[in-house]
Amino acid sequence: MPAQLINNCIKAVGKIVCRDFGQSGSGFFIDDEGHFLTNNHVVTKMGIDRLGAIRLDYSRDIYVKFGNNAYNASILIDENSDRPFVFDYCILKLNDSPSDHICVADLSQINQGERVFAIGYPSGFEMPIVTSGIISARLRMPSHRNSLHTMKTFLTDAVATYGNSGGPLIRSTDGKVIGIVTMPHEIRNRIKDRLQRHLAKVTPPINDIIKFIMRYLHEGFVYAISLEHVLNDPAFPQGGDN
Amino acid sequence: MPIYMRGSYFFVRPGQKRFEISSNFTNYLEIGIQGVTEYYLEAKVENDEFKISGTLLNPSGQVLCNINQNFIETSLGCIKEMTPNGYRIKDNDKNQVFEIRVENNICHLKGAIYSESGEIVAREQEDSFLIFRGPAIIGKSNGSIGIKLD
Repeated sequence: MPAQLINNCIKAVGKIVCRDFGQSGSGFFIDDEGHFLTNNHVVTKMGIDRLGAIRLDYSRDIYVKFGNNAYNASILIDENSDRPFVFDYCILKLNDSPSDHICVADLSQINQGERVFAIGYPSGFEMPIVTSGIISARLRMPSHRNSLHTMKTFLTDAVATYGNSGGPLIRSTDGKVIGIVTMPHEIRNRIKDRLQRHLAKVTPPINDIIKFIMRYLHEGFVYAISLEHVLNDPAFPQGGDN
Repeated sequence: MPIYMRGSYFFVRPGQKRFEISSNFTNYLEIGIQGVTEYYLEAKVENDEFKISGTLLNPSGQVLCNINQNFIETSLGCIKEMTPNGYRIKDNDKNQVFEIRVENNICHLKGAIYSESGEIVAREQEDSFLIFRGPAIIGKSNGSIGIKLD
């Protein structure tokens, strides 16, 4: 893929910071009107009440950083709609027009084995980080937020870790986005569970080392949710230049 | 003399995604007839996903909401509450009307389906979802029907 294509995509990817929740992630412009896409879990806090119902709070203090510039963002979706929650996406509107945006690929034309790259702001980085891999599989898997539903996903071996959530997974042939980097494959969680169990049994400095490993553990596959779920949302800005 | 069927599988195998209806397991349930009865419920497994659609009425026979593949399309007096493995539908007074819950690939329905005259058509009872009157279909695949109640 030409470096110029990557460069154009990078300009459309920002770091999201939710000041009220103290959490951050990645996101990207999908048109030239300031619509910005990310994961729902980046801009929400989820809890379960005593009756087992999910309580979801959307951040009220979101800003997006592009290098030294920061812009306020508002949530565009219908907060009473559970579709963004189930499929883990959120559409934001920034009070600035982007210099670049990433077009959405024709999702029916994506094949296993195609080269892709992920852009995001993994933990500790203030600049966009690009990693590459292939589409290891196209999978339907239960939604990690509501197991009644299944999500269409792309499994990739592109490296991604905390902070990459919400960033784009981009097809390398044309620089168009196909999915939103969302979460690691379960195997990483299993490794983390084992480390967590050991953590309780050890003292410094061993536990500090284990904590460091857990934080930056990035081996294994990553799921990106297919943009198909977002395109079906009535709130998705229509008339984009796909 | 009534005949009770328990533990039967209609168009599903053990381990597959399925609905538990009247102590039996099935891939499909239809209560009422869309466009004919005011109430309607269709529960199916499609693309490895549980999809519930229909029109729910309250005991007075008034429409509470229309559901399309688990998402409320029009609500005339109810709210949806998500749970980690399903959802609940509550009326405006926060009384639970219906619940969908998935456990171990089995989808359980909980609540009551009312007809336009306020009659109970189907209802959960002692951890089972019972159908009291037709029209209803339990199990469907490639044009074949498991049980049909007129």
